Amino acid sequence: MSSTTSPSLIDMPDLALKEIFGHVGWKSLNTLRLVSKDLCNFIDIVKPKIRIDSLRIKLTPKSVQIELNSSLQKSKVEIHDNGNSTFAVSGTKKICQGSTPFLSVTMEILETLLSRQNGLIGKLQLEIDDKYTKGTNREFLEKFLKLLESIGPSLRVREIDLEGSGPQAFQLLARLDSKFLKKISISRAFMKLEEIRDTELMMLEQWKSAEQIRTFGYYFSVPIQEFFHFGIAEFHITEVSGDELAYLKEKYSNSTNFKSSTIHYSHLKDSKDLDQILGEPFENNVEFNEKTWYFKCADPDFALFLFFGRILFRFVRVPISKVPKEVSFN
Amino acid sequence: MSVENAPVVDVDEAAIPVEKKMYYRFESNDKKEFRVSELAIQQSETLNRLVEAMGYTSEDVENKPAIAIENIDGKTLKLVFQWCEHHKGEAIPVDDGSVPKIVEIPEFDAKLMDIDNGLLFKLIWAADYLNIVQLLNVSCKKVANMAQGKTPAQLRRVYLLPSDEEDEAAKRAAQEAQDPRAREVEEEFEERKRQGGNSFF
Repeated sequence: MSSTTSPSLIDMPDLALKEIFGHVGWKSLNTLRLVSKDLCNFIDIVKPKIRIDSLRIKLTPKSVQIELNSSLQKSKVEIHDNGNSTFAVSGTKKICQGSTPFLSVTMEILETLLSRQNGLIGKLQLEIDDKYTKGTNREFLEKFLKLLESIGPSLRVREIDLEGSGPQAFQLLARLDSKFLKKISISRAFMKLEEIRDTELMMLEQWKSAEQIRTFGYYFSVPIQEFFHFGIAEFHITEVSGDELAYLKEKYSNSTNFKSSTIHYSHLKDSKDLDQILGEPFENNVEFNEKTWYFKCADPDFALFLFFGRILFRFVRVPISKVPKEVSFN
Repeated sequence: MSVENAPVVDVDEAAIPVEKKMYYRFESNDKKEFRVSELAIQQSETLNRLVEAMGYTSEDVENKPAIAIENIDGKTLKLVFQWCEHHKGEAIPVDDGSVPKIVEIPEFDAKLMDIDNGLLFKLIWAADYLNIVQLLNVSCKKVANMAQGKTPAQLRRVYLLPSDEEDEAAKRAAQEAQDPRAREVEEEFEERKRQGGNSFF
């Protein structure tokens, strides 16, 4: 390279260009295609990898919204089913129109993005409409799972957020790389509660190795032990017993990765007095049937706080400095 | 450690280090000489292999001519060696796709790369040529960050890119410089096209 002339971006070696384009993000990559023919050709031929911070897919019976956050830049595309035709809109710009079915157009766009994903997706959010297993939802999920299968062994995602049914959560979780999945959020729209009775979901390696769980709209009729390993948890369990609470207390106070868990419950399984099992509470509000306890942790710098109320109980690991002076540990 | 204090030495500017480590001498294409520690050289796969193959003794590095790096100028090479000295002993990242690649630009590197874009591109080119993986990573990340929120016209300016028209003109000029008849042939071709005939073929 000459010492007198300044090189430009296009003079960079291919390896460096790929590295640069791997960081610019989807939006800037597409802007770069408009800069010059040479750059456009390079990008189209090399198809550089992109970073996906988050990908949100929202499905309705007649449209799909795809929101992408790539290298901190947001892009959005909507694909609409217009009867016999399909059109896609990005911002105010119509980017394509034709007779290809709208779910096929959606899959093409998703394939382009996911096959070029670099590293791992920060958050994958999938919102399926409230008809769950019917119509477009069913077709979409079939195609989407097939797409995930075709682009690699398993998708690397740090956080999954699914608004859908239990079986759909199982199908989707199974396609993700358990080594990278840290947080699972599953919910259902419009308060149509769903009961999960079998432990099929909990048998997945993805479930076992995740660090956080948040569920909404589900109630679990499974052993509470299936949730012990989560450092942060929020879920609804059908029944809980005093002995299970004592077991949770033991587990959490000896855990180093536990932070907090909020557990909604429908029934307290036995009528044993919690005071007998857990000791005398620190606070006891008889009117609202609410009690609190503080317990020692294995780590002397922390204590375990328990709130028990009519519909939920909450364990929180708190720094010892935050424990009221009046507390005496038994 | 500040950028200014990084232990890269232009021999005509500073004393020879007193440490008993081996310091290799390198010369840029504009005849600037640098002394670089053995450990710092390990950041560059290319230079590391080169010095290993040479098998220099501590006398050799003093008495033999400096190792010439013909494709890189002194200004760029100084930045390269400052970076290598600052990061000497650090593990060289391996990108085999098994773990997500996250590139953070440390403060020292950010200051080192606070330079004009032309020099930054030369630094990238040098990092690639000398196979300095982490320097290539951070410098490419820096260049990528410049693209955020820019229009095509702004990107053209930031990345020193010619427009297609300027590029065409430059290619034509280069072609003409090589073959002065090329322009005449092209004009002749255009003229025949204007006349509507294909007798040219």
